[in-house]
Order: sequence, then structure tokens, then C-alpha cells
Amino acid sequence: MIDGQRIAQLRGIRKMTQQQLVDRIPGLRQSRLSRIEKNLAQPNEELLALLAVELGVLADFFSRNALPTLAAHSPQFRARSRLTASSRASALQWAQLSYEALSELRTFGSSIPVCLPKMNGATPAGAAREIRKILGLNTTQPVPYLLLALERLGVTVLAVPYDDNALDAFSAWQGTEPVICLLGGRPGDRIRYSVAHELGHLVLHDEASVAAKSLSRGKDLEDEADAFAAELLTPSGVIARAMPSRPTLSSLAMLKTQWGVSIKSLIRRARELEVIDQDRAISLYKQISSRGWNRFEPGHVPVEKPRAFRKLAEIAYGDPINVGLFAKQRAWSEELAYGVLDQYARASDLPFDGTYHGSLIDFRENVIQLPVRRPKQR
Amino acid sequence: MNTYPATVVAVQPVIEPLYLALQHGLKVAAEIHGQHRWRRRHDKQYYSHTVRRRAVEDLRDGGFVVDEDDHGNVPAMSGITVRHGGVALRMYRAPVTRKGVVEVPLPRRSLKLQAFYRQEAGSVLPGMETNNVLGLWQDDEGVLIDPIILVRPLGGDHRKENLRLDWKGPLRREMANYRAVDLTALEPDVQYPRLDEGMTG
Repeated sequence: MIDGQRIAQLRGIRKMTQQQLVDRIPGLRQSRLSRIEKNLAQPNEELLALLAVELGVLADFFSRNALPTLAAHSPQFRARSRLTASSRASALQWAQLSYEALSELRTFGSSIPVCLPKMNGATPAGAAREIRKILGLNTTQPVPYLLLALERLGVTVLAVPYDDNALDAFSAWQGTEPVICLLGGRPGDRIRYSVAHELGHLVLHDEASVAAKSLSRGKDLEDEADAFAAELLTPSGVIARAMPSRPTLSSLAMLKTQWGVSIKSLIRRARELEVIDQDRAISLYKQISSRGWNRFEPGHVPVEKPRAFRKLAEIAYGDPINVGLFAKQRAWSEELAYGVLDQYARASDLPFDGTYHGSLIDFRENVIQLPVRRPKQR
Repeated sequence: MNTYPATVVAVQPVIEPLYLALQHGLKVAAEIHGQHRWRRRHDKQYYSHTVRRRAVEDLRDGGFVVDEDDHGNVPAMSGITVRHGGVALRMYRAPVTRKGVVEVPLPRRSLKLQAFYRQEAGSVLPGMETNNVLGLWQDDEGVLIDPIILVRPLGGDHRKENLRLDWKGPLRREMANYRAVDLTALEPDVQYPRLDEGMTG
């Protein structure tokens, strides 16, 4: 007995219509596929095997029980206007697939208690300052590795091997559990901003408040999440002092590598904080366009990946992970398993934040603190 | 903030690309000399500048912000300044004495370099404070030597006795592998004793 919704889920992940799937399987008609997906008919063994091949899983996958869908919790999508329904569905199905695997992996290890507060009614800047305190950051410090810090607060971060230019990330409260889902293929600064933005939604906007607000206020919610992200990543008191009085693209590129946010965000922030006037902002934007930096900005920001999923898989399947067994127990193909696992950080991928005190590091070694000599008076 | 550990943390993402870029530059320089049967000792400056050219392009391709400031009055390789994480890392091919001692190059009479050595605000980016550090690299027959030496200057001019330094320390390639603490909160639910740990009780 299979669950027809599993076929629909995998079609969503592969962005295939029923007709496109039917075209790949000889002898199958759309009407029959539709009935199978609605659990009004069951496929025979051969058809099931063919479906598994086309959809990149083992046949057992179709018999697995599904968890309550993430879509039911109406995640607040950080979307651009051109996001299509199929892209939205595909992203959600990927998130669902990863979330199910994560839920299974959690049975092998302890869980991290959720310490993320809900602050409905707080101002975005005030909430961001509070979150910085909870993260143990002082007011002058850039957030060194945002994703790891959030996972330590009990936020579930899913990363999916699905890339759609119209969508960066989305989030939802799954019961009492905050969930952020990241789409793949984004540069480091954009990942950090998207995560901070989604964190703003989680902290400031619960399901009830989102539902209570009319659709016309959707932009207000996005603006609040943006304001939260800006204050979290670039606290107003510090970033205003860190900026030169007349910022250039070169100085902004340096700030980008310190604070892990894009040059365009920094210009926006400088304008908000009145470090620069409108003319200067326009001039900087024009320079970005003329240099072609709207597509590729200089200034390296390391790509952050969530860690918890892979760490749990390491606990369950050893390090390095026995991917064959991991895939078999989820009824996934190994290709799918590698694709999902690659979205999560290995211990060796975690960027150095200066807090590690392992045996390898001894900064006193061979360092010569030189006595300052005064230049000769002439 | 501008201590040696803080500087290493700030430039950590640059370490591996920097080593790779310099090594690639050395390879290209050796190839060009080999093709023409040139000897390196006859044109030390050209060899070093070839290394620089390749290294700069590699670093830029990696998304790093790299300055070139080529004028004839400064030591070889002085033209690379990598700006990352609040640090302006100026790379020099280290001058080595006959006794094999690495010397810190002098800023000579260049006012711009002297300001860099003095850690003056605006010496690298207008109106902005930066942590100005020298990175001294050497090679042995075309193989980059690990470590690169980091030196934080405090002042200097054309006279050796006027050179003032804050600290000096290694920038080892392995430092690129230093990592943040893992998610230690995630532990196996049941930790089974290992056979090689012996029995108690």
C-alpha cells in the first residue's frame, strides 16, 4: 500500500507536471496517475519501480508515512514578485523531505532546547538588540557565524539543494519549533542577510499576527524583518561610527568583509543612519552599476552552512557518514542523499571565529612581541 | 583588537587562497623562465613581478579585494595589498640577508608607505582606520615557504634604526583549517562503552 502523496511530493521537488511524468513512463495515463496520487488506485509493482527510477528514490519511499506538511503552517516567504506557484511548491517539498529526514535523525541524538523568544509587538531594532544579547554578542561585534549561533539557540535550519532565483529562504514556527529553510547556490553575504531576515519573521511575527494582518500589510511585515536583519547584522551605533564620513566603494568593500553584509546593504544602512545623503547614495549605486558589481560584488564573505543535520547523521551513521546506509534507510537514491548532505557543514567547514581552544592553536608560539622603539630625534 | 591572534582570525579566510595564489604565481614565473631558458638571478624583479601578476588575478577571481600599487621605488612584490576583515595585508617578497635572516623591508622615503607603517587612519582607505600588517613570503627554488611571516609595523623611514614594530608572528597554512567549536549540544542519546576502554567495577 503506497501513499500517492509521495509521488506528488517528488514531482513537486523535480518541478514536473503529471503530464511530464506520464510522458516518461510507457503505458501510464494522466488520469491513472491522478487517481494514484489521490489514493484512489494503487500501482502494480512494475509501475512502482518505474516511478521510483524516474523520481530518484527507492520504491519503498512511496510506502513511508509522511509528517504533517510544513505548508500547513503558512511560512512567510521572502519572495520576489516573480515567484511562481510551482517554485514555491517545489521549495516547500524539498523542505518537507529534509525535515522528515531530520526528524528521523533526531531519534539518534539529544536535541537542543529552543531558546528563541517570540517578541510580538517589539520594535525590530529592539528585538534585534535583544537577540544579540541572547547570542552573547556585545554591541560592537559582528556576528561571526550566524547559522551556527542560531542552531545553538534551537532554531532548526534546513538547507535544500534547490536553486530558484526568485526565492532565497523562508521560515515558519512548526509548533514550538522555529524552522528556517535556505535554498542553495547563494553567496555568503546573501545567506546571512536572508537568515537574519527570516529570524526577524520568527521573532516578530507569529502565525496569528500574520493572519490577523491584512494582505496589504505584507510589505510592512517584510520591512520589519529587513529592519531587524539590518540591526542584527550591523548595529546602528557601531556601524555609523565604523563608516568613514564619505564612504567609497573600496571602504564599503572592506566593511563588507568585516560585517558579512553586501555593499548594497551597507549603502542602504548608511542612508538610513544619515551617514550619507541621497546624492552620495545615488552616486555609489551608479558606480556599482558601471563596474558591473550588481552581479558580482568584490569582498569575500565565507558561505555559511547549517551543521545540525549532518552532525546528527554523523552520530547515526559514523563520520565519514555511511551514505549508502543513510540513503537506504530513507529509501532515497544515493545521489539524492549526497545532494542533501552537501548542503550541511562538516566540522571542518565551520569558519574560525576565534573561540576554538583545541590543541592545535597556540598563538603564543613563535610570536615575538616587540618592544616599541622611539625614532631618533634629529 | 590589532593583536596577533585577532589579526590571524580576521585574515583566516584569505590564508589558503593566498598560499595557492602565490604558489601558482611562482609556478607561472618558473614556466616563463624555463620556456626562454632565462635565469632567475639575472632578473629577480621580473620573476617576482610575474608571481605578483598571477597571484593578484587569482585572488581577485576568488572575490578578494586586492590593490596594486606599482611604482619603481619600492621592494619587489610591494604592490599587493589584500584588504580583508579590517586588515590591510601588504605582501612583500621578504628580503633575506646573506646570513639567511629575513629582514623587514623599510618604507624608505615613500610618504604613503611611511603612513602605512605608522598605522595612520586613511593610509589605505580614505577616512578609515585599518590594521596595517606586512606579510613576508619567501620561496625555495620556486616552492613557497610555510610560514609567511606577519609583521605589524608602527613606523619607519629609510633608516633601519627608525623601524618600529609591534609584533611578528607566523601565518601558517594550517591556520586556514582552524575551526569554530562544533555543535557540542548534539550528543548521541546512548554512548556505548568502547571495547578498548576497558571495564570498571
